[in-house]
Amino acid sequence: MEAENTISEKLIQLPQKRFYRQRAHSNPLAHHTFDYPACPAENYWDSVYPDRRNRKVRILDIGCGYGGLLIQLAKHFPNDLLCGLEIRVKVSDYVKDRIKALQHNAKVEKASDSEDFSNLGCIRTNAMKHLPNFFEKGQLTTIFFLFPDPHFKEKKHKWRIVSDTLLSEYAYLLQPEGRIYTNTDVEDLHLWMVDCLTNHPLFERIPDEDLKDDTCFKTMFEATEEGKKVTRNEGSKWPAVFRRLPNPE
Amino acid sequence: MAPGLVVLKDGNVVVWSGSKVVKIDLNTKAISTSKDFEGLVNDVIELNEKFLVSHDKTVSIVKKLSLEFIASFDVPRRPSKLCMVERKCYIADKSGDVYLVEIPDAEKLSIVTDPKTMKPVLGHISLIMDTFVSDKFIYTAEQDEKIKVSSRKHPFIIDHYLLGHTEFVSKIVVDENNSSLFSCGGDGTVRSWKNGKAEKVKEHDEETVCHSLVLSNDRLQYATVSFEENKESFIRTVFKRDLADYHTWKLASGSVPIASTAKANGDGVYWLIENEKSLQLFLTKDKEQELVLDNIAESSWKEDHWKVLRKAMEKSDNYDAYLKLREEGFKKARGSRKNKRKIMEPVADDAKKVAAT
Repeated sequence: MEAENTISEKLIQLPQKRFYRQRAHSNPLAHHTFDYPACPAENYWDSVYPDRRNRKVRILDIGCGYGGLLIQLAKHFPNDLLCGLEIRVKVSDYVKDRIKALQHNAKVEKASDSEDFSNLGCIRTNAMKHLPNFFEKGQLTTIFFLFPDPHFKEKKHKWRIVSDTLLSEYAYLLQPEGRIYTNTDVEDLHLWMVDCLTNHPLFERIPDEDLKDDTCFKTMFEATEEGKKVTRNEGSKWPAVFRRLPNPE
Repeated sequence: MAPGLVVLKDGNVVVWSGSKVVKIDLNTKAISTSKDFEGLVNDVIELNEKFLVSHDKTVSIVKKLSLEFIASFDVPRRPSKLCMVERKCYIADKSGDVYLVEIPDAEKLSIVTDPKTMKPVLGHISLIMDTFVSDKFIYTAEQDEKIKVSSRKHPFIIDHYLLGHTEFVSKIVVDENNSSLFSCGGDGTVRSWKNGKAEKVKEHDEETVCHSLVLSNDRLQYATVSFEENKESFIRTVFKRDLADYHTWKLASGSVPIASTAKANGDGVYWLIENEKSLQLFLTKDKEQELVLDNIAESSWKEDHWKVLRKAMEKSDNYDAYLKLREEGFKKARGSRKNKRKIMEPVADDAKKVAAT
């Protein structure tokens, strides 16, 4: 019996990225093998968050990559669930393994309820197609689009994660006064996203100056792997934050 | 997309197949066929004394009586369905977008659109298989199992989704007076929805696709087509209140039901049936069926359309292979790096020799 206790109290090594490398681009219009519920259901979330404690997913990181942002934000939102969506198989597996290791290590080190990473989860899915399967109308407070794939060619613009038609879906999932945070090192993409969001009747820009004390705004610059890469290469970043307006009558 | 048919206000029927539109006078059983349109005809709708015909990436407006060309306008992608409300034409296309084009009420029509700059009123990331537009809402059913209901006044506001189908949704029928909607799809189910919530589900065998749903009085009629070889197709009538069976017709081997439309006065349903040779027009009324007209047009479907659609939906990634690799603990990954180092060493020695000389 003593031997068993020692095994479960050992810290797990965090997964190593080199075994989970995958190329950056994935075709969002193809028919991949995904698991998703037919419609939003409470009991589905218990499988993603083993220690859910009746919390709901409020913060979404669409294209969460290797999970950097989620891990930095977890302690700031202990009463909400944070969810990362990632279409790439290996990368989503990395994030799931990383979250599991962090949760285990937090338990071993007897971390407090607000710092136990129990509010983190990652789902492998195509956010452009399947968001309504997971989330209810007005469920979310925040959506992040950090360093999305620019899809430079004009015929590939339909693959971009922010577009006129998709914004209506994101607006459906966000509660009024909910927010969309975007950041990218590609100025062309930044202008495109700002253009789409500004022209959409349900979104209004929040000037950067008004966000100086906003946790999400401060965290999104350095928390992600992509963000760190851009800083290393001394590139520029263009953030833009928008609020979701109430529906017109 | 496929051959189809529509009933006109005067009770006659229009069929389209391949690149042609065929008018059928049911009294005289006379058929008048149009000239070829450019590309395959996807949909035809009636607008007073004109028809709107969508083919390839164009919508043509032709005279009803003579099928003479009046005007046409281009759209960015192949339309899958047209819907007319007042003078507004909603065009749903195969890439998932819905466009709105207003058709002016004039003798000499000229509509100019710029496919490169047209903006959709709403969109999906998936093929739109059926659309219906009412005064209040725009209903769109897509290949990725969802039915989206958007406000008609503000199409950027999604009112709700109807979720439940596990395969593509092929047809929806809206009964707004009763806050109801009926749908059927590739998962072999017919579903009823009320007030935005799922109500009843009628299931069929695996490998069955349900399509061509029609509401006639208080009954729904649809076709079931199977992916299995040599399995017959059925046309079935059910009660709309509980989806209980009313009557079923088994089709002769080799016959495939393609499309249906309710008769103008609500009493009976016209069916377009394809057999090996051509298209036939059947009328089902209560529990009776009659062959109205044979050899209407050549069928352009040499292969089973539903098999083609099903094949296109097969998942194409290497997920299973990756799962296996993961179970083996990525051992392969480590192994291959070691081998690379061995291959590299001799080359390094040669390079030194070359540098020295």
